[in-house]
Amino acid sequence: MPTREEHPFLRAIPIDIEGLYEKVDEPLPHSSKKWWWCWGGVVGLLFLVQAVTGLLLAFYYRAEPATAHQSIQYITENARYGWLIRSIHQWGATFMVVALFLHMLRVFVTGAYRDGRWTTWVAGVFLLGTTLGLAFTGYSLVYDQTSYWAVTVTGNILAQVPFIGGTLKKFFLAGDGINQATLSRMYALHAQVLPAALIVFGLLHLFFIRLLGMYLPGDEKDIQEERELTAKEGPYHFFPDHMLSELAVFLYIFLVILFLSMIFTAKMGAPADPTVTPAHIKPEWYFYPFYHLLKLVPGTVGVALMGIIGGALLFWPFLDRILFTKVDRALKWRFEVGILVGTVFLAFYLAWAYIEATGPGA
Amino acid sequence: MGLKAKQVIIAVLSIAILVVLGFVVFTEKEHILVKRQVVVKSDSAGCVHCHGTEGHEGLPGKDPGIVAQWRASEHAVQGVGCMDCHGVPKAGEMPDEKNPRFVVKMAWDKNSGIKTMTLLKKNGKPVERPDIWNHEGAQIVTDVSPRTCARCHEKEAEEFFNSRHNSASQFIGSVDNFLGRFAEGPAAANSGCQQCHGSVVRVSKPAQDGNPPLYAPDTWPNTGIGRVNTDGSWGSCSACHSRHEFSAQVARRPESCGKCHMGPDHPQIEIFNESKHGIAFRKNLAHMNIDVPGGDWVLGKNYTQAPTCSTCHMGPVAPHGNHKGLELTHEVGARISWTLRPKVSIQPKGITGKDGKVILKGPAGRRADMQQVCTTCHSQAWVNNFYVQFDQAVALYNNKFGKPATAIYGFMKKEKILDSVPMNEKMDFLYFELWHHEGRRARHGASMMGPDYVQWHGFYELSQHFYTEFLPLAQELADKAGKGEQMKKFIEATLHGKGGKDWEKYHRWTKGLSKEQRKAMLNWERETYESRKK
Amino acid sequence: MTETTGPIKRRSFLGAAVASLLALAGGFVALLAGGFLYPVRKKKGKPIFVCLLSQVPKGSTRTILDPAKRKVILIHTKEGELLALSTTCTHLGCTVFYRPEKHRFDCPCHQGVFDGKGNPISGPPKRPLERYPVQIRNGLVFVQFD
Repeated sequence: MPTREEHPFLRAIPIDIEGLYEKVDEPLPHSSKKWWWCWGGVVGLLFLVQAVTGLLLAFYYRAEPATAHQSIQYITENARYGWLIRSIHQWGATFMVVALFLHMLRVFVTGAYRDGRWTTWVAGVFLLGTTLGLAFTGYSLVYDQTSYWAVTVTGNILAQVPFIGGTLKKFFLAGDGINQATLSRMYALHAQVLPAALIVFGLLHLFFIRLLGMYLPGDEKDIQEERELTAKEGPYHFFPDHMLSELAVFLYIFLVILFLSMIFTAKMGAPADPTVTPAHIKPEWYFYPFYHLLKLVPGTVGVALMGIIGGALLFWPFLDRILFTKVDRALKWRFEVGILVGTVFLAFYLAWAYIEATGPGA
Repeated sequence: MGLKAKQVIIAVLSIAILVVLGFVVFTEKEHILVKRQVVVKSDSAGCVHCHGTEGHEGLPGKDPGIVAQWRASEHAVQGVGCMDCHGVPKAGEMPDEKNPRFVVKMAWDKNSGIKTMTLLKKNGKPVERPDIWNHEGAQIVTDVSPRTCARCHEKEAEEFFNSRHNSASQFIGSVDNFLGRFAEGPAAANSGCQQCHGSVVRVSKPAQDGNPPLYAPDTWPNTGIGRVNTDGSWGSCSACHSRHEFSAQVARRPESCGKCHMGPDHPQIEIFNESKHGIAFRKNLAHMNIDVPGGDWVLGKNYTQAPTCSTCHMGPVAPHGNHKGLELTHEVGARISWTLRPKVSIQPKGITGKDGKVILKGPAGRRADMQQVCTTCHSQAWVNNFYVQFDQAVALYNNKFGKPATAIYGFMKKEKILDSVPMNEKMDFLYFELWHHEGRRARHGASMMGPDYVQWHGFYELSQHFYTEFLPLAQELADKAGKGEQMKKFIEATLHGKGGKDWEKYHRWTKGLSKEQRKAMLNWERETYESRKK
Repeated sequence: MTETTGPIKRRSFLGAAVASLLALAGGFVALLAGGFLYPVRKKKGKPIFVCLLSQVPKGSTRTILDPAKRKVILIHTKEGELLALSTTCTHLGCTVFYRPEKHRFDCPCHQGVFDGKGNPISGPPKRPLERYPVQIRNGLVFVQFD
């Protein structure tokens, strides 16, 4: 713990640092010392990157169908470093989703949602939904052909939701079809509503982590080992130890984003043309599996399936408990069925994403 | 991993990020906003709105192509809009004789060569042109005459006014005109001759109740370069500077001239394409800066690879050697010493205005100006020799074919061996084509170094037609008319020329040549060329 | 517990070094942001044709519009000077009214007054009205607005 003796500059800050430190410094299991456990923090830091770059872009972006594309062209071609800031924002989005998926994978595999930690998990699922919403609304702001038709298609998918589909679509598009208000709606969502939601859910997520503590994975032997290690060396502190690990991973990812931004600078497609549907409309890569699903089954079935998957994800801690206590015990396997379910889901996700990525219009 | 190790990693990564960002900051070039801004003045805003792509009240634009062309023009950037050309100034806003609202009278004194433009007056008052009409609150005309362009482009308009281009429609009474209108027919004249030479634009139905006036369809549409406009003026700037882009760049291209300066009677574009000039032009076009702004395309400065039509006949030339250089001129005859058009070529004398100002230099002055162009790339000795070749070709045509054929044809008309009707007999066409077709091709070919036009399309056909068709047919017709003896004598006298020199040089060969006679002819040739007669 | 000898000193130094590097990196990001937000220069425009010289004879004025559709007064003084005056008051930017009968410009916001050539004669304005460069070529009037 940093003290005022060790770090004299802390004396200048008129806050009870020691008291604050005690409140926020989460004691972590020593087993989480690995970089594999850093992804959660990396997502948060990448969000910070998105917020800063997004804020800068907002100084030039115009959310009007007639001038949106132009304003982004201005950013990319005329404003100093505009190309870089936009590219960082675009690559940052990809990496934020990747980091999020890796974080989810870690949480899932280590069962960190167990022992009453379903609130943390639920906040996390909302964070997932919000992040994907941010990614989607963000791309719609470019107002090129992909943006326009992706919004059209999404509106139509929403319309397939049973009972409330039509209303959902109307809310989404601010009308029956894409109109002058749609872009403003996407912009308000992307720049105001969803970031605020992300912050709220993020704080909730952290609050619950701090309240409920970290889950100790593994069996009795692992837990015992952990207890002994903590007794001997003290806990593994979040500040500064794990924080620095997360910072290191984040800086590395940021460097990669910088290089990608300079080599594969963000481009723009042709401006949105309501009269011409391009031959191949594709959403962003993280939506590929759902896109593929909708090609295999009729719309309503697809939407219903996605609803079921969403529900399963949201209530996973409860499902997992049922599977673990009832099924695993009954089968007397040393293997958790939950992991099998997750693996199957992941396999389909990756397979369908691959098919879409290498298919026509890739 | 210890704290220290983590701190080292973070330090290294931070440095790496710093280096990359530093690289970006220091290598970023400023992208200065270069916005090509089209200026739509308030008086033309309505025109652009209704005729352009936006359309008006839900209806699509009437002529979006026209407005789009205008938007791409230099006019649009400079603030020249629809009303500046299609509007007519109010009476009093400018001197009446310059005001395109009022009709002028054109006169052309063939002796002095001076053209004059005077205000037409009826009962002491100027006369308004017949095609002004009220459209959406503005008074406009469709036929924009050079007098409108002259409001801003005064120098170019004046040079064009003095040139043969703007009087291209004034061949009324010529054989060509008779041929087009009568031997052929009105449609031939309207869709053919007039499209290059220019029609006399006529209003068939004046403007009424807000409807536009109707132009007579045999006179409009027309962008013939010598078009007689409804305000009485001659000429059409759109002939070379196609509307509505009106670019200088399009007029630099040989194709612009080639629309009219082509074909069996004056194949200038074909000759240019055959010549080394044309070959060099097509090869080097991409590097000749041909699209620089108007007035800026200077031989010797922006380009030297090859000339185009406009280079030699109009374009600016940078100073070089002892030469002061030449300014851009729209007087296309300013650098031409010979006229290769008529039955017998002459070097027209210069034109001096009534105020003593030189409108057109004399032949020597014109040739010296043309040579300024040539000497940008060729040595003076080279150029001098070329002009000897050129002059000799013209002299050969004149003396061997042009003058004799004209004299003989004139004799036939005078002696009534041929009737007085032009172009109704075989002999009329034979003689016409001798000077008008192959005779011109030979001369033009020599002027612009198109050897095939000099030879096979030129002198070959001249000699074939003259000796095997024209002369025999003349004799035959004379015999039929009972004037055979007179014709024989006349032909003999004509072919002998003064002191029989012409016979020796030009026509004795038809009876066969002895060895000495051949030698004498070859000697004569060498003498002719080496005597360096300019 | 803590000593101010070797090991601790190095740790503090490293910590300070890392903090300062991060701060520097942050500074660069701020530099980037600042550069990004600072407006880009626009290339100087060309003079625009506004009217014929004969349409604004000596002693007369003509109202023209600049590309941003603001009024500009073209004044051809009796001495033969051709001025293109902006109608933006040099005090706080309101639009002045040109009073041809009085040969002056009146500003309604704080009662500033400019004379016929745009020079301030009373009220708060201290600087004359902006003059746009005017070129006369072949009897054509061109004004450079930007």
